[in-house]
Amino acid sequence: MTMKVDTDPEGYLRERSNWTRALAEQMAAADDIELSEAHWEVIEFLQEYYTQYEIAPAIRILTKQIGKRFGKEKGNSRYLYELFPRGPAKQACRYAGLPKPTGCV
Amino acid sequence: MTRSYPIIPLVSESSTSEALGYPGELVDDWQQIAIVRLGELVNGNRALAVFMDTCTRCGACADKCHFGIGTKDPRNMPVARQELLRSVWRRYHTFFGRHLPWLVGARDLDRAMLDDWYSYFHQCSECRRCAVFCPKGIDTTEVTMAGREILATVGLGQRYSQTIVEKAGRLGNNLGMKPAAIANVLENLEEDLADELDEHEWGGPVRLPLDDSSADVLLVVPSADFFAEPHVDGLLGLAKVLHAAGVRWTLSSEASEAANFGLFAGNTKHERELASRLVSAALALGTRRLVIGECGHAWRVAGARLAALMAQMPEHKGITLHDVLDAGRAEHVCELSHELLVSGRIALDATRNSGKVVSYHDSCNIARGAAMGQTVDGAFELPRALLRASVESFVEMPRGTTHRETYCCGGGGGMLADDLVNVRINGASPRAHALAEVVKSHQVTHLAAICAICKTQLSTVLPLAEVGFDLVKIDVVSLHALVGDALVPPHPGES
Amino acid sequence: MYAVGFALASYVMLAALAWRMWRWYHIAQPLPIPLTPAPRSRIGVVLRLAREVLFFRTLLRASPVTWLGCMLMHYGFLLVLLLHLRFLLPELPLWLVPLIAWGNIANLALLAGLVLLLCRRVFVARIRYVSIPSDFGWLGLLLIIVISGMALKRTGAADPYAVGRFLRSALQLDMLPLVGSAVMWLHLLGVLALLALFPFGKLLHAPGILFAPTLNTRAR
Repeated sequence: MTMKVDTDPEGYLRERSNWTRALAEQMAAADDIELSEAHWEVIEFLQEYYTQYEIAPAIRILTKQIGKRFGKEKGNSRYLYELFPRGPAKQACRYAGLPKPTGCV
Repeated sequence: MTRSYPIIPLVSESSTSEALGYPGELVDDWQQIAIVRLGELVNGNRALAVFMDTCTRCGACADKCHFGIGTKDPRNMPVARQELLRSVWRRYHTFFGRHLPWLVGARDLDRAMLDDWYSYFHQCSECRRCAVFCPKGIDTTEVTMAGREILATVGLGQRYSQTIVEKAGRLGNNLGMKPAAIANVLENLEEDLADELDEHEWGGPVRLPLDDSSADVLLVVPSADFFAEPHVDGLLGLAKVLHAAGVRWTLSSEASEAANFGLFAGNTKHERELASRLVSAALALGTRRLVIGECGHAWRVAGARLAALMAQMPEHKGITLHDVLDAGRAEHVCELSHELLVSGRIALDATRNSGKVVSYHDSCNIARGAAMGQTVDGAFELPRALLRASVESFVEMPRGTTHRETYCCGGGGGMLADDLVNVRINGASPRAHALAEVVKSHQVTHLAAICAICKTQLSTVLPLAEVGFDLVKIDVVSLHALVGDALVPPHPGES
Repeated sequence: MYAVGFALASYVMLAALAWRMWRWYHIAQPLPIPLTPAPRSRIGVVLRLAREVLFFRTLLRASPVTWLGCMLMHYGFLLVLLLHLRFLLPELPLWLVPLIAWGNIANLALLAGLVLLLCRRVFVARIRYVSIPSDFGWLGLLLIIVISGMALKRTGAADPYAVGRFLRSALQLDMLPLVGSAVMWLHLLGVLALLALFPFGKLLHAPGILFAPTLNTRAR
C-alpha cells in the first residue's frame, strides 16, 4: 500500500510535519534504494541540522559532521554519493522531508 | 532541421507567484492582458521598441546560439526566438500586422503561441552571444526578459526563478540561509582553514568575518559559495588572499547574495529590490568599498546597472553610489585581487599548482554584460592575468569560443533548474566540444570559472556531454581557488 | 495622378520616418545595456557605430557571404541613388561627374547583391525558416526597381531629365505632363512604393541601428 502525500512537482514534501519513517522508506523504494542504518545516519543528521538552521547543511559540513560522528571513513563525498547516487543534498533532503535547496547549486 | 521534444519548465507555485505580485495561475483573459502588457513593455523600453522594428531576419545570429546548436531546434535560433514576440507585436500593435497579417508574418497570440513562449523563452540563458553577431545590435536577452515578464503577468511564472526571487527577497539570499546558518558555515570553514594552514606561516588564523562593521571592504558572494562544491573553495581562496594582503573585509548577512535573479525574469522592480540590499548593507556596515564575488550576472547588475538602479530606489532617495562608495561603483573581486597582485601585497607562486593544466571559461555576463578594470578588455584580461600568475600551464580554448564570443555554460538566465537538465546538456555542448579540443591537444585537467552558475552547470553536465570521450575527470574550479592555492603565505617558512 | 502619389509618398516617408525616430528617442531606456566589451568614451561609441554603419563589421564576423551581399547591395544602391541626382536636381553637381563612369558597375553590384540575398533566403534552410513573405516582398520590390531601371537605361525608353523635371514639379504639386513607356511607369511605381513603405517595415534598420542601446551606450 502506498501512502498519498502532498509533495511539490519534484517530489519534496510541502509540509515537513507530514514526514514519517515509513514515508522515507517508500520514497527510497521508488528509487530502488533500501534505507540502511548508514542512510538513516545521514537523514537524521539532515533533520537535526534543519531544525536548528532551517536549511540543509552545505555538502562540506555534511561530510565533515558525518565523519566526526560516525567515523572518518564516512566523512567524504564519495561515501555519501554511494548512499545517495543523485546527490546527498537533493536526494537525501527529499527522503528527510526537507525542501530542496534551490539556488545556483 | 527538425523540431525536438517539447520543453515545458515547471510552472511556479501559486503562493510564490502571488507573493511576487503575479497571479497564482493562468488568468482567464490572458490573451488580452498579455497583449496590453506587451504594449506597455515595448513603449516603456527603448531597446525593445527599436528591436521590434529593426530586425531584417538576415540570419547572422541563426547559427550562434548554444541552445540552437545543441538542440538543433530551429526555434532556438535567436531570430526565431525573437520572432515569437515580434510577430505577436506586429499582429496587435502595427497597422500592417492588424490588416495584412499574412504578408508581414504577424501571428495570433493563441494558446499554442503562449505555450511556445513559455517553452522557448526558457530555452534562452540571456547570454547575449547572438547580440555580439547582430549587425543591428539586437539583444535577444531583452526580448526573452520581456517574454518572461508577460508570462508571469498572466500567471505563468517559471518555478525555479520565481522561487529564488521570492526567497532572496524575503531572506536575503537565493538558498534561503538565515544569518545563523551562514554563521555556522563560516565557523566550519574557519575551522577547516585552521586545520589546513600553518598559523605561523599565515600570521594567525584566516578568518571569514560576518557583519564586521570595522571592515573597509564589503564582499558579496553568491550564496552558492557558502554551500556548494566547487564554489566553497573559491571563497576559501579569496579569504586567504584578503588575509595575506591584510585587507579588512567582511561578509554581510543582510546582503548575503551577489546573484540577482530579478534580472532574468525581466522585472526591474525585483531586480532593484534585490540590488538595494547591496547599498543598504554597505551603508549599515560603513564599508566604503563594495566587492562582488565570483558570480556572472551579479556583476552585470552591480557593475553595469547599480548606479541606474539606485536612482530608482525609493529607500535610497537623494544619494548616489558616489555618496556610499569611494570608487563610486561596485568593484569585481578580480579587480581587487589583481590590484593586490600588481601592487605586491600578495605574491603568487605558480609551482604550488604544479601539474594542473588549466583552461578558462569566460562567463557570458562578465564577457558581454559589464566592464572590468580600466581597459576595454579588462573583463578578459584581469582574470587571465590572475590565472597566468597562479598556474604554470594555461591553455586557451579555440578562438570563437572564448572572450566576447564565449559560449555560455548553458545554465544561466534561470536555466539551472533540475527540470531543464536535458536542455542544459544540449546548451553546454558547444562549450563541451571546445573544452574537449584542448583536453585532447593539451591534456587540460582543470576548467576555471568565475560564476556560480557556470561552476554548478559545468560540473553537473560536462560529465554527461557527448564529445567522443569522457570529460568526467575535468575539475571545474573557482578561479580564486587556484589563486588561493598559489598564494605565498605572508611569512613562509616560519613554522 | 501619379504626381500626387509621388508627392504624397515622399512626404509620407519623411513624416513617418521622423515620427518613428521621434518615438524611439522619447521612449526611455530604463537601464543601461551596453554590449561589452564597449568603448569608454563618446568618440569610441561614434567609431563603433561608424564601423557598423559604414562597413557592417559585425556582419562580416557573423556571416561573410551575407556581408558580401549586403555590401554590394547597399553601396551599389548608394551610388545609384547619387547618380540619380543628376536627373532630379535642376543642375548637375560637379562632384557627381567622376562617379558617372561607375554607373554600370553600381547597377550590377546592386543587382548581384540583391540576387545573392534572395538566394540565401531561398536556398539556405535556416534563413528560409525565419523568412516571412514581406522579406521576399522587399527584395522583389527592389529587384523590380533595379531591373526596370537598367532596362530604361539600356533602351533609352524614357528621357530621365524629363522625368526629373516632372518629379520636381510633382513635389510642388504642380503637374507637368509626362510621356513615357510602361517600363518607366513600373520603375517609378516601384520607387513610389519603396518610399511610402520605407518607414513601416524592416528598412527601419537603417536609422534604427543608431538607436540600439547595446551599441550606442558607453561602458562605465
